[in-house]
Amino acid sequence: MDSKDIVSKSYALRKKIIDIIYKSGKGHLGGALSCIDLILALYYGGFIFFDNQPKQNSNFILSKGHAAIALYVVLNELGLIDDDLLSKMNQGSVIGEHPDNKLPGIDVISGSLGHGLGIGIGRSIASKLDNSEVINYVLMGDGECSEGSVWEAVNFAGKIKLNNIISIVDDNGLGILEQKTILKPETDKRVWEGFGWHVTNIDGHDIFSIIESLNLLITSNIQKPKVIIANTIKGKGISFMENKLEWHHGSLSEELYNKAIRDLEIYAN
Amino acid sequence: MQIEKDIRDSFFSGIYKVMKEDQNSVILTADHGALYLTKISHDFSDRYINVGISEQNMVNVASGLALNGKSVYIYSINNFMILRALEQININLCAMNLNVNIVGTGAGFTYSTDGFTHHGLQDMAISMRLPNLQIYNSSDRINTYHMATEISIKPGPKYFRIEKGVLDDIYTTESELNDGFGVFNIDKNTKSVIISSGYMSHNSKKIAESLSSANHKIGFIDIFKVKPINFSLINKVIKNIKNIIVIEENFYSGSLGELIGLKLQNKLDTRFLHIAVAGNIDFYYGNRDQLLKRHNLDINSLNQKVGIFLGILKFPR
Repeated sequence: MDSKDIVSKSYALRKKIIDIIYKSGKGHLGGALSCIDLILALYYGGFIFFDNQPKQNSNFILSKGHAAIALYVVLNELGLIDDDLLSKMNQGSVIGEHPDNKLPGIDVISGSLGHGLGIGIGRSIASKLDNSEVINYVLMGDGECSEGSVWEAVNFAGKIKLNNIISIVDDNGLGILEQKTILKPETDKRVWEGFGWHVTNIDGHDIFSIIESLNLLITSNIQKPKVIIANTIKGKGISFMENKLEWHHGSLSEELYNKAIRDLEIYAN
Repeated sequence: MQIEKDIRDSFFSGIYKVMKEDQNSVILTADHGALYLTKISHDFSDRYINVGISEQNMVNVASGLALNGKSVYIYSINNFMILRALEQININLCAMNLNVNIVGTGAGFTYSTDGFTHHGLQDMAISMRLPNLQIYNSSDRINTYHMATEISIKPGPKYFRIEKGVLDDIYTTESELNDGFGVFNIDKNTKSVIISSGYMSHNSKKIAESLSSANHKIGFIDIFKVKPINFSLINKVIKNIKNIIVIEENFYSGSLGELIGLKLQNKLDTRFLHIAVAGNIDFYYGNRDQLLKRHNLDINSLNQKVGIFLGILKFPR
């Protein structure tokens, strides 16, 4: 798919996120809107695949599980999660605010932070043992990078020079309670490099740039694990949510819903 | 069949055999060693990984390997896996129901001179709460070798609490091990039964033998498959027994004896005694027998407690 078409999906899927969260009553809006472009670029840029053997496997892990809705709408667009199921999120169905491996296209349960990178590393080691060329992708949040288990994983992958894993940090700069300082070590290039990782800094809402960076990384001969630190905006696309702590999780009144949809129409043009 | 004398060696020699036969098996250690592990690291170097002292990461990496179809072993000290990496185990192994074998040493007072950080008195009770997880508690080299060669190759998450050192054999190579427990000296004349597991099975078996007489026959059951406990089969063995005693090297709360006590709660004609470790933190260092004595789990203390409960011995004056 052409990058321009992916950009148009970026608007459509944001609208779908707003629709579903409005209907379901509540949801993790801010972090979903900060990483939807990253997920779109991964899936529509041709980096993620599904393998039905030995089980329904993909090479993507959403470690920041609270952004599940952003993954759901992409999987819905790809035909893995049907409209009926998606429309029932949080309303007495098997689909909720954090992803379970019972859902099509998802094979890691997430919701508790700091687990995904280690799991991705395990999958990448398995790929190597199987002489497979597969690269595994793990999407984390910058807030998540405060977890100690993230750094156990970073240290380990750097030490063994695991070159078939790409971690992406959705660096929206906002936690739940406070804005992070600009010089935070968990997304500081020098810190990751110190652990033996190759670091790329990008604009996490520029789909062309995300795809270009990923293509560069997978065709490179860099014998290191790779991390993309994506500068993003929490709540991106909805004026009243952008960079606002209170929109980490919330619900929309009819008035705010209509305002959000109007914002997205402007964003689309 | 030649089984190593040391229990831990018997386990890892079994794993060596499994890894030789199954190219899909991988072993991770959190920088925790064993004699046979060194041999595994030499002979299957691509499938042996020392992840360093990072148990949470080890569990996550194991989960990723298993997701991609590998049969995985992870090895460290019990507490450092079950207590430290509890959430990783709960979600990424148990809820995801993956083929990962948690292998740990340090049951009870194994690390008797290493303090509370190393005492495995809570890990069994805690791991018994985890969905899908099977728990095995080794008591001799024969059931331990069986765990490695026959049980670890089956699907699902499992936790093996492995003893170390040389202990007497409880089983023979002809023993039936598929039920997860062994029955000794129980027939229609048996009045009382001592149930135990792991290292305490040795003391329990000895006191059952020493207190048993023609008038009061005392049997013994070693349970090595702790979860899911095969209670319907065990109940067939003990259904006419008047006195049931459970002895274990765990804190009282939440462990084997509590579980069996609950299972027996409707048997109004059965008397029940549970002997375990009081749930206090003991800053005391010595050999394992010294610690067991301090907690009244040595042979003399047990003999007296059980003897009095059964009316065989009188209260000391």
